[in-house]
Amino acid sequence: MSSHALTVVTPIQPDKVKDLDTLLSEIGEDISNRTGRHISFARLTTVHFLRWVILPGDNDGGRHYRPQLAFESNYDGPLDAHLEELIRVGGPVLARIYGYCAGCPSDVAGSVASFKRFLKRYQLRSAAFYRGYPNHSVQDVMENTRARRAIQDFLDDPERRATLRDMQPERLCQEIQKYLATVPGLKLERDPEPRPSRLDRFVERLMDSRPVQLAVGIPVVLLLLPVLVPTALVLRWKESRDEVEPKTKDLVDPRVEGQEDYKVQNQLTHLVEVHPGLFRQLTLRTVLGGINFLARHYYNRGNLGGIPSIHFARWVLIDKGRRLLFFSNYDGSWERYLGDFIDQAAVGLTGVWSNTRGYPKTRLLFGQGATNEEDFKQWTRDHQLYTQVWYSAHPDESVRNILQNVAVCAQLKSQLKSQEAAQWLLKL
Amino acid sequence: MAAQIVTSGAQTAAAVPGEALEFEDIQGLVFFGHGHLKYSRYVFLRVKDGAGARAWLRTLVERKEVTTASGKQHPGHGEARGEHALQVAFTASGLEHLGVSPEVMITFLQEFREGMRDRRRARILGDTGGSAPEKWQFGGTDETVPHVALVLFGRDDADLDVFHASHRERYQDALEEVFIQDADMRQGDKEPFGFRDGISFPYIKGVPTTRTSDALGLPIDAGEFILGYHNAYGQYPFSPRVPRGEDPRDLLPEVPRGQTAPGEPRPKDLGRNGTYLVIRKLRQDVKGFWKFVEESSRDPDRSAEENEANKELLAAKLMGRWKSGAPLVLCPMKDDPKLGGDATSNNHFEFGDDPYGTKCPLSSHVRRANPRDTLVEDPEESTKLVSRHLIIRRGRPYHDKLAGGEEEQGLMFVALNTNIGRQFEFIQQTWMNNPKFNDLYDSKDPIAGDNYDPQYPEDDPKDYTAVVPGFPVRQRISGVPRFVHMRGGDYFFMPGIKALRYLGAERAR
Ligand code: HEM
Repeated sequence: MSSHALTVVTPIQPDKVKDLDTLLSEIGEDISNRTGRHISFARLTTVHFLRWVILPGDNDGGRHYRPQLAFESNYDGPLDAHLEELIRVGGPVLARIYGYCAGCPSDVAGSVASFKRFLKRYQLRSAAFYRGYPNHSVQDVMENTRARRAIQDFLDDPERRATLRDMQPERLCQEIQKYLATVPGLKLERDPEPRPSRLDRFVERLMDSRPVQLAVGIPVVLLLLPVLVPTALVLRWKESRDEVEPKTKDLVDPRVEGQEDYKVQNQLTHLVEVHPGLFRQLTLRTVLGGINFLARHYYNRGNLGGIPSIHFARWVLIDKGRRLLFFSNYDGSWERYLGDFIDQAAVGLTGVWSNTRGYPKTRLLFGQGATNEEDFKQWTRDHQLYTQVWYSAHPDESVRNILQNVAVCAQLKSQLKSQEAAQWLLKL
Repeated sequence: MAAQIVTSGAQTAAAVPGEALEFEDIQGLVFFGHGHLKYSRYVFLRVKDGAGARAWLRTLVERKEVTTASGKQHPGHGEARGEHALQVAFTASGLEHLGVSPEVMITFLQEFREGMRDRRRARILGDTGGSAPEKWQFGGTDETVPHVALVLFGRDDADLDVFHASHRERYQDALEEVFIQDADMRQGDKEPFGFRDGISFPYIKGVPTTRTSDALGLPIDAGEFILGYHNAYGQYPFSPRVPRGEDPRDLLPEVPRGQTAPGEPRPKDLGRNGTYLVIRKLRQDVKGFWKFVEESSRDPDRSAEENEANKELLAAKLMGRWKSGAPLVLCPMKDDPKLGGDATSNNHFEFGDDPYGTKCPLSSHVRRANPRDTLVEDPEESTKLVSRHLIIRRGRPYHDKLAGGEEEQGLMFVALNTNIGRQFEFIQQTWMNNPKFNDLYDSKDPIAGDNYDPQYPEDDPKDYTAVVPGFPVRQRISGVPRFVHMRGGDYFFMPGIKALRYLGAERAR
């Protein structure tokens, strides 16, 4: 089963923004629904991550934008089943949230079908979508975690320690497997990983091999030369006119910083205006299309251009392409995340965000920009939004943990020979 | 071994072509720990009278009492090292009390302006529970925040007292002492847990050093540690600046070319040759540490000697070096005191051939504090990325006499860097306190991480583990307690000499 992205952006009734903020903030602060008055997210079986964010009205200078509510979920399986579950579990609270939005039919609480129709009407496609572990459902992730914990319990039991200490790796693996078979309800069979498609394999060869790159790249560039040269000239001219935003704010919105830098997982919502004009739309959509393609066919094993800590991320163009919304669910600190962006993926990021306002000075779309370390961080901060509700189904697992657990669990039923066994034991 | 002076690159001594380091304008602490002066005292002061404090500063500068990195104190001229050393630095509220304007204040780093005690900051640094700001001896509340850190170095206690008294006489009308901390190296290079400290240092481009070339490692751009020079990204770090009009007597240099918006008159660079100083008084629970190590390594079936050896081994596995300083990667089974004490080879190692940490655990203090070639898969890329998260450490142990003959021991931790968030805080937050670092599951730095504090039992001790890879399978110790506790501190700006002159200048405010 593979995971998908749902984005729904609905206009909020202008006089209801405050009420909605209050309601969502309450939900966000009670994410495990201790009060019983909100949503029991843990009952959702299809969701890895979800969030609600209010996109405030007119926060971006020149143009007027009305206030909107953005929802994202990273879900497994078919969309209809996901929406139905969401409506079932969210129930009246969901109806209250969307009751503050314009155009919400008054009977939503009563009719699953009309609620679904409403949400789908405001659904937006991701311009680019990245998944750290596309083939592992929420249930897989949780099952794997249970198996791993069971192994730890077995190994760490002080009663057993002395006998395990002198075993050969092969024997120890067998003992672990024997023990796991006795743990009630533990699923030991894993679904096999789907084989990479032919396109995936082709892209992989292309990305990893110089000769193939040259063989494909040179003819393509030659063919495109009549387009590339004028594009480059226009870009240089446009970039020379891009204005760098002066530092306007003193301290960053304390609500944004206050919800960051928690122990394991964190989130980021970022919204910025795209430079006006057809040309920038074209370059932006091309670059995002490229990233989306690579994310689907190459960066699909816990690594987005060298960044190992992203669970799910997406770019969505909203307001008819005038603004670019970015959602990310990542591991670790903000400093580390932004640092990884700059250190590992500056080219890709600059390719995207150089088409937006206030971005640090760029050269030919992909150059400089994010490598202006301190400016890039400042710019990111200035465009971050406070996320009212954020839920993770497996908040204690890093991407690396999830993938390591997959590797551990893949061999739960195999007979491991000495070297293999020793290698497997190192993962525990 | 004869000390040899090595300079990076082609003896250019320049951070950027044409930009030699201005040693005479940089406070000495950036380049040396004043190791020949074994005793030191941190005097934390608050301004009572701004004009008086500025006058005091002026005198310090005019009499050349602030130790710089130039001339006599330079490493190559060891025989002429000073009798005393003095460094001076300021917190954000200190600068405000000296009359620095709000337009200038906003150009300082946010970390510095908010201070160490800021609530979010305390959370990311692990200053919670018993280490929470409101429990600190200084710096934790508005009332105890120091304005000035005056750091004095001397040969012994008596000498230091005399030195301190001579300065106190001059500042006491304008500044009051809020906290005094002594820290010294009477036990040589050993920190209180018993390990050799002060071995590994970043090697700064353009700075002469007495170390031999193979003990140096990658040369790091000076802008990582001194404002006004290019940093590891090839850029000028954010540096505090002063509008031209606020420096009528032209005391400060201009900001580097290309650092101004077109059309704006070029501002003055208040940061150049200065840096940010991180001061943290860290109490070490020495008894608790050794008790834990002993209990976690004892095996009733083994002899006393074997158990003793296992205890030393486990302690080394947590630190990443043996007590002598010998790195675990080079001698994983047994301490090698000769190697530990040999400055030409005790820092000459990488982790590349130990990917799973079977020699030096992934979770050990030394491997977390500097992952060297194993931060990411590619070793060269790793070294480059790590070079963006380095600090210069100038900490010294302290021993406070308590009532009843007890003693509190710890480390007066001092670090220098130009981007607190990317350097000091990053190391503490992302490498030490992060249970997922290095693909781990639930292990923080066993030495300096915010592990389980039994006095503040908020969560499950089982969530705090130390993992020591071994045969046939790892040892996983859960319930690792916190051994290092925060007692007080703050972020300081340690200006260059010209900037000190500017800060001390007479002005209306
Ligand atoms: C009381 C607490 C601490 C103790 C006892 C301690 C002890 C040590 C020891 C024995 C070493 C090895 C000697 C050396 O390489 O110089 C070391 C290295 C180091 N420590 Fe700590 N440390 C403490 C806190 C910290 C903190 C809070 C930080 C930074 C946030 C830190 C950063 C480092 C760094 C960067 C190294 C050098 C690593 C390398 O380059 O190999 N330490 N520490």
